[in-house]
Amino acid sequence: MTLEEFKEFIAKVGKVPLEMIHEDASFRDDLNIDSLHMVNLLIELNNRIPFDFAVVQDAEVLQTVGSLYRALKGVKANV
Amino acid sequence: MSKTLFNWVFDQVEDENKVIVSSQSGDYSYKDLLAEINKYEALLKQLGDIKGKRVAMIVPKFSAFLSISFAVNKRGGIFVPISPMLRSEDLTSLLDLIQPHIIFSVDEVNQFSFKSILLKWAENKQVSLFLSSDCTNWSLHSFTGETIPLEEEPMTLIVCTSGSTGVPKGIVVHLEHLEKAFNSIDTGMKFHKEDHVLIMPPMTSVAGFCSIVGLMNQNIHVLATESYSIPDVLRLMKNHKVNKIFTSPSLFRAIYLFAKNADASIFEHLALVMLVGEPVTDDFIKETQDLNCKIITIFGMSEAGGLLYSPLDVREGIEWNTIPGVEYKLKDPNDEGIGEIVFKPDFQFGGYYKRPDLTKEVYNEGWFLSGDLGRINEDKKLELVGRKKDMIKKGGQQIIPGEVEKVIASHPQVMKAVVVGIPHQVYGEQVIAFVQGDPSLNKQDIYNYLTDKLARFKVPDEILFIEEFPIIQGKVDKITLRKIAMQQLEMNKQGWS
Repeated sequence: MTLEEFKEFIAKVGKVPLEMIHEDASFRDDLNIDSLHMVNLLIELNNRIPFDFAVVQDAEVLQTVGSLYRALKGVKANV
Repeated sequence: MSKTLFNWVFDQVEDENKVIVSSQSGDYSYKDLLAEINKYEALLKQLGDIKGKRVAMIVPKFSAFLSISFAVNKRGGIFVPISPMLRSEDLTSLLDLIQPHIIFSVDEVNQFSFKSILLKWAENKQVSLFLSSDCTNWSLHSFTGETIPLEEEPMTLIVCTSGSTGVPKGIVVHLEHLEKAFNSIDTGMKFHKEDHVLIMPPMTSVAGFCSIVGLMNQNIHVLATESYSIPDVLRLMKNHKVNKIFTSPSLFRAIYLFAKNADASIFEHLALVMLVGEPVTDDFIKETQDLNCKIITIFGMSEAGGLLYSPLDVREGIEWNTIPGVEYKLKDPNDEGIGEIVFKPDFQFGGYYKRPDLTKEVYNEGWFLSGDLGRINEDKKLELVGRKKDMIKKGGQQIIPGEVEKVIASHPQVMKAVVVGIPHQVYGEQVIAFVQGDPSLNKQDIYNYLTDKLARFKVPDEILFIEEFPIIQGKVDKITLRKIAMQQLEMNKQGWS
């Protein structure tokens, strides 16, 4: 999954305009994605590209679009 | 003079140095809290007598929230906790209903400015507004204008919920209500002095607030979360060796899903989970099969406290027993024996704030119409079969379709909106909005319009456009709409993969 595809995925699942989604966008502050929506987003993401939930344990990883993308990319060659 | 909430809690203190409450922002002993309560009393003293005054609070920091509540109560005021998740529309309707004399509020949450809404609302009213960026240092803004009448009826607090027509409701809560609601939770959770109990329902709800003050009254360590970010909740659990959790199924499922693969030691001390707020689904049971602790469930209403609980582990089944002191009966059962469950709790309900008409609709001579349908099964046990009201329960939060419909319909290109709930694997139920409107309108226009107008959890998870609404007996047929929504989402899912 490229960064562009990743952004499109977040726009679709998170119901957020694609133009608002950039690497530094904070899920909570900029995209208004709260914790339960975040869990849903991760589960949907996991259905699409299975990953180990241990990767997303750290609150830092869940801060921004870029941090989540990099964390997933770092452990999964086909992400 | 009757007992105050402050006395109910602080007269029972056994060791004032014991850490009694914890959250992400710190641990507090009774002594720490008393010092903070003194600070807020000093702030309130400058406003003179606050007896009969309503004090609204939008305060996400746990210790400040508790200390303001106790300080207001100690000085004879009525505190009104308000969820920091509200946005302009729901917040303003609520303020119009409550008409607070004093407001404590954080400046902003997630870049949403409460400050600007409150400064505007308070114009031309005699209101004292305390604002803070950190819930620690407060600045007072005094407004002059129309005098707001004092409350004549005695009450401890007003708890706010969404109303069925889009107008919010306030539940008048007395100390006895909090005590009984806590006792009902204790019936299931059987608290002990050594427990470390995590309370997940928001502190602004009856379930959350009564659990917190009830545990303080029992000298039991209580943890409340200021953040629902799952890693933050897990850290709190781990740091304090939480052994009991009171939570909704969807939140607990999320916590468990996150932690089980990464750090199972978080659950090492966990002995009991009590679920509230949503039905327990087959998915939940499947997901938690491996968890080695007891999971039970309770059923209740903010207005009436806990009413039923099932002592069995939910993975073995559910067998509803009434909470001691509670009575129930079925109203107008049909041929299959299904009727609306009517409950009689063992305390007097204080009514809906300024809405005796609403109170009369659901409460008569101590009996409550629950809006839930039930029947008596072959084992002579009560079985819950569904809801009469069309309230949606998403992630433990209640959503009234009428409120969401009203905001969507206020969009200039929308003719009509109808909101229904359908099952969802994470949220329990999700919010679906059917919209009839201008053909040029797209979903994103509506999402953009709703941002900042509605709390995030109320924003529809899906918006579906419809040319004509199915009608049955002169009303929109929500059963058909639910079917359409489920079919449509299933098709979208297939299209996606």
